[in-house]
Amino acid sequence: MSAGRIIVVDDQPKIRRFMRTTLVAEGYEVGEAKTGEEALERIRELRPDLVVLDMNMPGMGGLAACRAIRKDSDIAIIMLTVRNSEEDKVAALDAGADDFVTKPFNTPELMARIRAALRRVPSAQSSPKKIRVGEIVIDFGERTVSRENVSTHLTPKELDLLRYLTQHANEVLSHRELLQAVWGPDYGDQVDYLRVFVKNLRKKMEPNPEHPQYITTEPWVGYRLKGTVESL
Amino acid sequence: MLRRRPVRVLVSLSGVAVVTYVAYRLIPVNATTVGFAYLLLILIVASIWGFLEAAWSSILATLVFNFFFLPPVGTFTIADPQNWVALSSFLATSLIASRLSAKARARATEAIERQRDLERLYTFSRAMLLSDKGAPFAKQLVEKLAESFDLEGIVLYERHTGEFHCVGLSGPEGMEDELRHAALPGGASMDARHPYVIVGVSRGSEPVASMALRGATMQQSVLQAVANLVAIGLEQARAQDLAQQVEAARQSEQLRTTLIDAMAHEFKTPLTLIKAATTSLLANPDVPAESRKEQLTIADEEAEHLRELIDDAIEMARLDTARIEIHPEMANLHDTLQDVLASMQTEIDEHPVRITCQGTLPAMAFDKRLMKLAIRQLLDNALKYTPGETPVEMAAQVRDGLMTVEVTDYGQGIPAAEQLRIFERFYRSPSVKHQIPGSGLGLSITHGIVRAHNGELTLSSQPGRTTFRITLPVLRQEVS
Repeated sequence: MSAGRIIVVDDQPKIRRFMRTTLVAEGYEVGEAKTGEEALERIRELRPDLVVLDMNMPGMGGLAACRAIRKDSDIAIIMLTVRNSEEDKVAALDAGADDFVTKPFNTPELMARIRAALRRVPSAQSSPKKIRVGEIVIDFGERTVSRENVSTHLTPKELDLLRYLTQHANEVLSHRELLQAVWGPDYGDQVDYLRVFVKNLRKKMEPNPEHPQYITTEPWVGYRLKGTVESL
Repeated sequence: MLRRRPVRVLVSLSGVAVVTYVAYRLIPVNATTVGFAYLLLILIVASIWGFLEAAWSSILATLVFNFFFLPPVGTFTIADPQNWVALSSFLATSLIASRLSAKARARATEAIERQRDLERLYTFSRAMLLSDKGAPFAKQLVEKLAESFDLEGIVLYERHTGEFHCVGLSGPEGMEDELRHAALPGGASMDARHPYVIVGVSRGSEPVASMALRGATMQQSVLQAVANLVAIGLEQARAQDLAQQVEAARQSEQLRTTLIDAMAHEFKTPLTLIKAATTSLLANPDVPAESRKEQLTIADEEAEHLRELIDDAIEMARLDTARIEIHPEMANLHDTLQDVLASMQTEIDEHPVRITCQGTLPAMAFDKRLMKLAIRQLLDNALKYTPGETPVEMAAQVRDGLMTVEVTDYGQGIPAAEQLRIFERFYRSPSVKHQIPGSGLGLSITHGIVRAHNGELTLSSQPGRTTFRITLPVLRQEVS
């Protein structure tokens, strides 16, 4: 049984070949695409669990491809960037990537990131499928959040983050705790990730994202979800 | 000779003597006619030379008029009181008329001088505008100034550089301190120290330079105008220098950043593969021998690729497209193309690349290393800007004393507007700039190399087909 299905999108044939060999050795099924356009097609055909997406490609480019994938799919996306700059990181996460790795990468680290992206926060057996926090309804089965009858889709990492926050409602959660719970034990210092994902969550559920009433920032510490959680 | 006043006075007096002689001895006329003849002579003298000459002539004319023509003739005495009136009227008339005519003459002279000064100022300002960009401006400025105003010599002291520029003189001739003083705030005044006129040059209230002029006959106002023009010229030259420096700095900064960008992109692929292979090997020491070998091969190949990229980048940064020196040697074009192809296997990857040579290519003289670099750039572009499996064709032929190399790709083509700028240094098509790494140097360097061979690099492109063509004259005299 395969550990998961992965599509590698990179315009450099050598990098694709290397990734394929390495990923197959790790037990994944691997598909390839040379461009963003081809990646979209491949994703429709193969329904992968994860996409490793190069940021700089001819044609539509990595960021546009990432946004296009995110528009109608929840699959995990790891972006490969060339520059290790704040700008690129935020751009990648903003475009909907779950994580990013800077080239040149360390192979074991990339594998760890892939495992982390594929892993999901396990929902406790007793945890309800649908809950209400204030005026917000979160449907973990449907992966949606609704406010005033407008429902918005959540990406897997957004959903994981929100699930962890609701499971610990009204507690102050540190950046490190959140990162390790949602991304995995290898994480802890990537505060940027949280900033982008919390910003996206706020956009989807807060009446006024500039002055959040549900997900509040605890300066220098982390975040807190305010409100009473009721199961529906 | 007539420049000197005593000579002119003498000539005027002789004129009076001649009129007297003619009227007294040759054509005897009456006193009234002689009087008018004197008057006419005096007017002419006044209008040509001035009042002093005319006044001396008037006095002499009055005396001889009295002596030779007023009775009793032959004496200075006058019998009839009416003649006293006539004589005094004659003297008064001649003096007043000569005064008026001399004044008119002085005005005319002044007007002519003014006009000449204006013409000189104009010539000088025009010469300043048309200065040669290559030579130092201040030096040209003093030369033009000396030429326009017929000066014997000039020393110009520039305050911000502290330099002295001389023309017509071997050096500042001991005027350094005075010139420095004249170029200080408050020190800028006009100062005549024979044979020099020292003048401060300031822009607004800020002194910028000073000049010492030798042989200057111009008026104060003209001198001031010259000083202002010099100030404007110096200021403009300084601004231009500054702009040039800024431009040079910008170019070198742009070169630096584009090279860094290009490195960041192009170098990262081989580096990524090397790092990926080595980290993978280090993490799993127990991988099967076959897999281990493959990863080591990747690392090795990519290290080689990286070396080539670094060599290219160094070459590109070093080549100044304006001054490429070629060292032609005998070489075979077909072999050169094959060499290029062999060195680019990594980039070629899945592209089918075909070389066609028409007939047999004779050995020719060209700079093998540079020509390879030029063809590599064209091939690299064709590969880089077209999708994976698109074919690329290279064709070479020698005909009618011209050798041509063509690189054709079947990509989306280059828009007409971009074709005009594509050989510019650092120019990159806005449509691919952010997607395909590049420095914007490749084509400009290729262009430079081809031009250094007295050849031409041309481009024809339409959607679906783009051809870059190098045309070089075959250097037959080099064939041994």
